[in-house]
Formats: sequence, structure tokens, C-alpha cells
Amino acid sequence: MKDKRILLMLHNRDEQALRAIIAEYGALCRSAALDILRDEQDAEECFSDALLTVWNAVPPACPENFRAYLLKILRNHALDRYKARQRGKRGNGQYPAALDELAEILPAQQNTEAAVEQREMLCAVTEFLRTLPQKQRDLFVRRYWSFSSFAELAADFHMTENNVKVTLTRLRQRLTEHLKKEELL
Amino acid sequence: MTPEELIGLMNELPDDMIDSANRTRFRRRGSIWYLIPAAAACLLVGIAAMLYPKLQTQKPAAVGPAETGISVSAETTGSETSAADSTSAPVSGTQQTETAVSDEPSHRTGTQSDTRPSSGTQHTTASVSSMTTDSTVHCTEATPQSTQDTKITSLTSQSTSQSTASSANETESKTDASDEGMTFTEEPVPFRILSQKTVEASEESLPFSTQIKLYRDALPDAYSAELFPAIDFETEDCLVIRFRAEGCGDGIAEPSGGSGMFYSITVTPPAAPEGTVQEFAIAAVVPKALYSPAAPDGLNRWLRLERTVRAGAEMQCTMIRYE
Repeated sequence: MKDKRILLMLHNRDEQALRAIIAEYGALCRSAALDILRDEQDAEECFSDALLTVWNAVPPACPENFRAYLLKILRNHALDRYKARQRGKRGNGQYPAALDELAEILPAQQNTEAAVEQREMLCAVTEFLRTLPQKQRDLFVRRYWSFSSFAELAADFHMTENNVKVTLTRLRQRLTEHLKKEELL
Repeated sequence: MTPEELIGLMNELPDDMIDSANRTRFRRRGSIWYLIPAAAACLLVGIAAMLYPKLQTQKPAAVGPAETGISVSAETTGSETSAADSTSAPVSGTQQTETAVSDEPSHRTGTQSDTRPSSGTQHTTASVSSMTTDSTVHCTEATPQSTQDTKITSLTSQSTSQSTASSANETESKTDASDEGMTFTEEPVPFRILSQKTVEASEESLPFSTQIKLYRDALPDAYSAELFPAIDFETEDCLVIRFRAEGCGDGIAEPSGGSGMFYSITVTPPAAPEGTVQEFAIAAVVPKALYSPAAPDGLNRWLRLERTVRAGAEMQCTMIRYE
């Protein structure tokens, strides 16, 4: 209900929508960004970038699940920011920058094949996650999508850290078996 | 595919998975489902702590017909003997004691209805089931285990006027002992009695003695050492044991010793013929001499010891505590 109200305000270009998003999802987004960036200032800036992206994307976009939509945008921004930060640490960003420049001229054929492969991989991973119980699936996504720490997962899932680690290890093993079965590995 | 690529690829996971996973993010912030059992437990503990002292000092409710631990069924083919005589016990104090004896030929259950005074003067009605004497008596006695024989009831307290209505049939004999100068308080006090035993008795073994344990630690908190000084149960005027037995009437049992914690009495019921069933009741009364005005509930305590005696056979002891 709140998401629909927010989307309506965004469609009406009402700036109150941004306040509503901050009120409703501010804590969640900051926490998610902080999981990736581990820096509060970066997380705050990342959240601001996500808000701007949402403001520019809606309309015309009209997501069915606004929370997931917002989190995906936030994650993209957080990962971009994280990569940029990592590049800065490595040789003042020149080496990765050169890689990026070279990547632009790579043959399109290769990119197409990689895109197909990635699409198949995404389907396989999604299919694997569908087979998992809710708790294990949430645990997996929280770890490898949101990059939550073991301590956070242990607290949120009422498990011990060791239990979280063991569970994730088993899930990775099962994912490997599933991908091998699908001939993706 | 590198892990980095996979991580980037996972951004395309279905919305429901991402939504569901991120809803777990703030679970650590105290779920109410974990608080409810804790709150309920705290509430229970609080209620128990509040009610326990009240239950400890709760005044017992009136009980209708008395309970006994021994149920004796007898087929009567012959005559029934109904005890009608009762003599007043030489109990000091202004006490009226009404002892009613009723016939219950089929079920040998010692019934008792006691009345308490309305204003200072007490009327005590003790109805004791009569004996059925027959040579072909089939007795179905309760298992002579102490736990089964002990019944705890409450002493019925009611005014004299109230008691007259119900005691019309019961009071075959009344004994007024008001001239004894002893009064009892109205409020009964819990009285823990642990004298429970089965005594092998025969005609030769009479008289017998039993031990009534009066545990002082069972007294309410109000009866501290200051309010309730040590009782010398060896003194006769501290504890009056009244008994009524078929064929021997009421009397005072002889104190045969004891200590401050318990008291022994000896009663001498009449020797019954072989094979007969005889019942009698013993009531112990703590007189007003022990009453402490500072004590809120008074110290009128009754205990009743009922015994079913079948001469020549085992004798079961049933104690009924009236609070």
C-alpha cells in the first residue's frame, strides 16, 4: 500500500515521494549499502544516488516490487562505488582504468556468448534457490546478494556464526553440484 | 565465469527472493514472539508470589458432609445399634458440644458436621455414624494406607441458629458444656496433623494410644514466637482431647506424653465383641488458653481423629483435619 502511494507520488513528480522512501526504506537501504561498502558516508552517498536513480527511472518504470527494485538499484550503486574504491587503492586507478578501456574494444561476439552464458547461469542459480527452504534461501541471498557478514546473519537468523558458515558451505556445495548437473561448470 | 561476474549476475535474481531475504535484516530487533513467553512467565511468577501468602493464610471454606477415609459397607441382617447417649465432656470453657449420632447401616462413613458459635459461645456438633453390630458383617474397608485414610476437610462454622435447622435429626443427644467456661475463637487455623497409622488392635490391645503431631512450623506467619509462645502440650489444659466412642460416651483422653512438637493421647474404647465393627471419634480442641488476641485468625483449632475399630481385627486410623 505504501509502495503504491510512493509510486503514485513519483509518477506525479511529487518530491514528497523521496521523503516517503527515506522514511520507509531509509534504514534498510543504509544497512544494505553498509554491508557492501563498510563505510557509513559511502553508504549514505550510495543511498542518495539510489534515490536519484529512482527519481529519474520512475516513470517510466513502474516496478511491481518497489522494495526489491530499490534494493537492486542500491546494490548496483554500492558495487560500482566499491569497485571504484578498489580501483583507487590499486595503482591510483590507472590499471583498472586501462582494463576498462580495453574491455570496450573487445569483440561483440564474445560479449554475446558471455551474455548467453550468464543468462543460463542466472537461470540455474535461480532454479537452485527455488529448491531451497525459505530460511536457507534467505541466508544465501543475504550473504551473496547483500554481502551481510556472518555475525549479522547469525543475529538475524538466530543462529551461531559457526552454524551460518557451515550452512553456507553446504549450500555452496549443493550449488556446485547443481551447476555441474546443468553442465555449467 | 568469475565470482565478480556471478555477483553482478545475481542482481537479476527475482524480486521476491531479494525482498524476502532483506526482510530478515532486522529480525534481531527483538521479535515479540520471543517476548510473549517471557512476559507470560513473569506474569505467572508474579501472580503466584501474590497468591501464595494468601493461600497460606486462607480461611477454609465450610464443608458440608464430612469426609472420611474409610468407607465400610456392611450388609446388615440383624439389629442395629444406635448410639444415643452422649455425655458432656469435662472441658473447661463456655462450650456447647452437640454430639449427634446417626445411623448409617449401609455405609459406614463417619460423617461430621460441626457448627461454630456466633458470638463467643461455640456450639460443636459432631455426628458420628453409628455402629452396626452384626455377626455377618461384610466389611469393605479402605486400604489401610495412610495416604488414603487421611482426609482433610474444613471445620464447618456457622451460627447456632443455623445449626438448629439441620441438626433436628442429628441431635439425638445434646450435651451442653457451656458451663465449662471455655470459649473458642471463631476462626479456625490450619492445623497440620501427621498422625496417620494403622494399628493392629484387638480386644487385648486396648487401650491404644496414638500420636498427634502438631507442627508448629505449619502455623501461619502471624503466629510468630512472640504471638504464639511455646505450647506445652504435656499440660492437659493446653490441649483437650475429646472423644466419643460407641458405648463409652464422651470423655477426655489422657495425655500420655509428648513434646513441644507433638502430643500423644491414649484412649480407651470399650472392648468390642469379636467380629463387630465399632467406630468412635476423637476430637482435639485447643482451648482459648492458647488464643492470642494479637493473632488475626485466632487459634481455634479442631482436629478429629476417627478410628474404625473392628475388635479382633485390624484397626484403621483415619484422621480428618478440620481447618
